[in-house]
Amino acid sequence: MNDYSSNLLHGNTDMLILGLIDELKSAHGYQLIKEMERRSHGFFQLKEGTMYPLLRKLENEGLLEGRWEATSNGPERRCYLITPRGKEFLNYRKASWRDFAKAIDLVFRTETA
Amino acid sequence: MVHYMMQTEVRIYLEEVRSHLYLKTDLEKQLINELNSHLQQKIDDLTSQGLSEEDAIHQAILSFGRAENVARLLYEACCKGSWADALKLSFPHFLAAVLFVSSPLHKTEVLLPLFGIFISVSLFAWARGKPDWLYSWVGYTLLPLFAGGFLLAPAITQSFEAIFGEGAWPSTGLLIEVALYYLLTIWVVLRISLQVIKRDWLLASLMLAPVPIIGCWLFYTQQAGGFYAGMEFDYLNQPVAQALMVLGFTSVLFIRMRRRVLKAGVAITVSAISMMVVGQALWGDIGFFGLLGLSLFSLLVFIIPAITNAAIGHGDPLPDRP
Repeated sequence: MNDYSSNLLHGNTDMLILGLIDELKSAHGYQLIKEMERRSHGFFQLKEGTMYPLLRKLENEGLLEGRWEATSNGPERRCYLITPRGKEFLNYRKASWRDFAKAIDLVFRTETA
Repeated sequence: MVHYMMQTEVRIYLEEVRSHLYLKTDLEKQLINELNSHLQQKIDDLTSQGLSEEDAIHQAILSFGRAENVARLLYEACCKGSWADALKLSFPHFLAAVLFVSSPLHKTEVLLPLFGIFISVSLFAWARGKPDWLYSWVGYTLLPLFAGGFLLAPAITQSFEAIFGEGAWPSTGLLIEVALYYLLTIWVVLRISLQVIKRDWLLASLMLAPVPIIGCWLFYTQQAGGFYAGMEFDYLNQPVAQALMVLGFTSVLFIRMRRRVLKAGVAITVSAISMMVVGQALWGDIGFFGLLGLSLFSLLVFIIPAITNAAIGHGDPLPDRP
């Protein structure tokens, strides 16, 4: 991933995380990193140490809710669920992103036409 | 729940993260447990892909990034308090400022209930998880102990004069009482300060920030014989009140800002400037070196906790089974 893509990802990580959690209903940090990498065919490779500050930030802003869950063969995991406020924020961000992407498409289409 | 033994390398890494966190103990434990859970899953995945346990641990830690960076990001994500917390942290400074402006400083019927409130709030918040806003209340709870030390200082001066044959010794009873008072004060202040420093030396500094300002005021009034003669120093109370108000606003900034380096910078700068303003109001034009000396004196409340923190460390060691 080049610097430009890295900056784009940096500005949209919160939307991607909220979107994934919304879809998975409940997810923990490691699962989110793997899922993002799998779905983007390895394009989005988040630095693992940055995931937890981001999750905590979203939780403190009331967009996520964290819960500890016991596992059968390891230490407890903290799973995150999206809150109604988080869903609202996600919808707003998704709509903004679609409008932005559409506008860029329109500019390029006009150029090539 | 099945417990996992923490591998030595993982423990060292997580200790390093925690040593830079400076958050509430419960929250730090939660964060460390969460990071450990991630590392254990990653190690399990890597070993199931064929890596040796040693290589898996090494790679898992490497992919997490530098411990100091992870801690800094976690601190910035979790340290910001609410406006209510900011108000609670700054309230004692504003209350003390009002006390100086309205000048009921010699009225025990005002001072005693006020310190009763400081002590009650401090004990209540200390017992309920030690929130960040508690520490300014603790600072003002400790102030009467410092003030008592100032008031008893003449007995010490008299003793020194007696040693050099320039006066009579104070009574043995008084000497014992003074010695006990100083020992008890030192013990209480050290015990509380060390606990706060272990939690976050910057909070300890903020807790002790009013001490040099009010200490200078006490020193001056005592030198001028005012504290005993019952003289009022209204013209001096104003700058002290202003300095305490500024400390109150600094506390608001402190709790609302995320970057630790900015928090420290603002607290240190404001303390040094407040001290210089108060010093100039008390002693008039004291020159460049006088101002420098006063600002360095105010910096002691930052330097001593920082050095102590470096010596005693942060928090308790991590358990084998998080």
